[in-house]
Amino acid sequence: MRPVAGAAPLEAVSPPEPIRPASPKARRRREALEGYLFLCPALVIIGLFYVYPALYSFYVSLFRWEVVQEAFVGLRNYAHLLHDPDFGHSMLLSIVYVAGSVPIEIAIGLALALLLHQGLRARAFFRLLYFLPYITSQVALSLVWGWIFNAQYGVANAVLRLVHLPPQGWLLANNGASSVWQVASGGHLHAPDAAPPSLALASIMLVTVWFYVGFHTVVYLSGLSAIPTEVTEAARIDGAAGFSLFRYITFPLLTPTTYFLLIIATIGAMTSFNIVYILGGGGVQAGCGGNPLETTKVAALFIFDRFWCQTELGYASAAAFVLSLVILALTVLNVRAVGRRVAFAD
Amino acid sequence: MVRFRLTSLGMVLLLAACGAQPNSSTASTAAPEEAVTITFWHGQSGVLGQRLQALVDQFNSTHKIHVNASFEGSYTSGQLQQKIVAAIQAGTPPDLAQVPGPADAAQFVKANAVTPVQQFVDSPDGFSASQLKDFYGPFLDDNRLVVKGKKELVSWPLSKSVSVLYYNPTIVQQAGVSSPPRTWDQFQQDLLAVKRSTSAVPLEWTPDLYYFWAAYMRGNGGDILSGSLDKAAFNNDKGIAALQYEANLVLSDKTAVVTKGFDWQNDFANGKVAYSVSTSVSLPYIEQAMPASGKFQIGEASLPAGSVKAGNTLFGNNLLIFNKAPQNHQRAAWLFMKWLTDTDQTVAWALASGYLPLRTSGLNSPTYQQKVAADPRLSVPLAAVSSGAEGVQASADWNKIQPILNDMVIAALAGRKTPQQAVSDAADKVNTILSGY
Repeated sequence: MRPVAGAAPLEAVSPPEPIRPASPKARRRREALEGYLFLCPALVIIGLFYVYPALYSFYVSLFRWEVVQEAFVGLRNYAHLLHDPDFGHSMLLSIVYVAGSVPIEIAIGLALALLLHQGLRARAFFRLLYFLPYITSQVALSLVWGWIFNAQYGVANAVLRLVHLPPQGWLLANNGASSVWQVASGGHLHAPDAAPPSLALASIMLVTVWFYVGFHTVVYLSGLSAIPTEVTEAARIDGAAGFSLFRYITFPLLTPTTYFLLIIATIGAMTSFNIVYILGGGGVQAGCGGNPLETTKVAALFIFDRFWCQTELGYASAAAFVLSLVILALTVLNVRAVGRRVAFAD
Repeated sequence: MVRFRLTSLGMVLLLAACGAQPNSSTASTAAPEEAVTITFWHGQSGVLGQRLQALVDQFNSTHKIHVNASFEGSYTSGQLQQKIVAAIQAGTPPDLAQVPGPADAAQFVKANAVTPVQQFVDSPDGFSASQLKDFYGPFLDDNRLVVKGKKELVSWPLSKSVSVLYYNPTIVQQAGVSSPPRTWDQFQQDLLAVKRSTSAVPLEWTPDLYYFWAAYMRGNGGDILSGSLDKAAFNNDKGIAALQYEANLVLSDKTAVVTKGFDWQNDFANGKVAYSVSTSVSLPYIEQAMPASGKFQIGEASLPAGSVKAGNTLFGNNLLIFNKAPQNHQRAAWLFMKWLTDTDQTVAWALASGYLPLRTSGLNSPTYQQKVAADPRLSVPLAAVSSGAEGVQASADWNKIQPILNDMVIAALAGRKTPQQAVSDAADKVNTILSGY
């Protein structure tokens, strides 16, 4: 290029450095950093409201702690828990509560989902109807059920009287649920048999099943929708129908959903509080933390009672920690027993 | 010369000030009121909350001190207690709070969270010995706890009630019973008479350790805990006999029906029940539950007596000052408490709430006497107080002991354990708690 007259001479400019692509390691580091930054808000919330309280609760459990912190006792609270028949009884009631409600609510949820999956008319209406309890306040529902089960004025006993059956104590009945057909007078305490669940706990389990069935139904409906139609069509061509189709195709392909629901429902039942507190104890009706004879005092209610009613903060924190270990053990059991049997369509 | 006279005058005034009686409560020796705002947590909801607020508003309009009163949860179900515990943990307790009784006060004393009111009682703002005598002795005793080896007034009474026996006069007359039972044996016979002669339920109530295991036992000279509050004192023939008596009513005589919470009130109000046991505050609630067509005059009597006395139990709530409050707030809280329990106010609160007037001058006031003349039942609970009512023992572990004793009662009434076994098991658990495992 010819220089323009009078213009300053052009300086030689060295060519720009070629852009080197980032090394895979650097790129991965940057992507990981971006990922962590996006996770930060959630991690902060989980850390503040879950992890920190759990760790602090363990700290509290190492002390004799009533209204204020007292002496350091190490693991003495845990040692006392192991020998506390009330805590053992509460854990047993929790296991009974889980065993008596979780399988039933999952089974009914599956049955309802299968019916709704048939392409019925007003399917959306029924889906809403079954899901309604789940989205309603547990406290409000429990208060209503409390009146339904009221031994003197409740609908439940009114129905029993209508069909000439003896009225029951329901939430007052500390006798075993198996003795429900024995002659008894509503509202009376009478000599119970010892095996749980009591009729009081069984009544609470009934309400629990009714509350959660809708959730299981909706999740199973989603699981059923995810089953590829080609698989079921191929099975029909091979002659499968009705129960055999369900047994060999539908149910195995629903195992991921069942596995998920089993874990969620078990954890939920082990930590269940609202329904049990309102119906089975707590407040003016039945004392601070449990009904008479404590046949409904599941683990969460035991912890509430020891923490708030008896102001044994250290002891209750130890109980909460032990409960979390038991739930962890049950979850691991679920993973080993059921997780391995999970099947997918592809 | 002038300087000498002024100095002499000053010395005279100084000597006069030194000679003033510290216990006199004349306005001239008490410091003037300071304009401060204090927080007051209480557990009265609904109508009682409104009536308490009316008294607070009256105080605020006539004093420099301003009281911010707030309902923080029911005191009967433990909600207020839970709030207070949380506030102490957080270092933000109110200046003044209502507490259920001496056991809760004992817990807060143990946590070093309380300023005992004794210092205010003994101060120029307090009472002379003769003025203190105007208060019913059991109500003040209910607020005395041992602090650093010395028994003193820790809290101050506000709302007091006592366990009483309610009865339906029509039903008991039908059964040929002419007067309320004076002894427990007579009560048992009266219940059998009702069962024989009428279709009513003889006794319906929600049992716990107070109604009426403790009443029976204390009436016969027993007690729940030892005097030093360090071991169970009920694991003996008195404690067993008290439980056996109740169990017999339910399981053998079948004259008693057990209910939950306040369910017994509906049946009693509907004229289906002859006797029930509750506190003196329950009367207006039962009357409210009566159907328009079935109203009747409810009978009220002291619980039957044992060999020593009628073991009526004191209930209600007291007031407590927290030591986190600044000194001037604590004094203001005391002045408010003192005003609230003055003769006119205790009468107003008693008539508004159904609790008892705290002072003899309250009972003898023209206003209250007018009410007693119109309804002689109002004098029954105070007579029960004077015949030896006592509250729960001031053990800081009481909230742990109470559910054990309640379960003991229910286990025996449900036939799950014999009274002897129930008492023995409960005593073991209570002793474990008191030993501070």
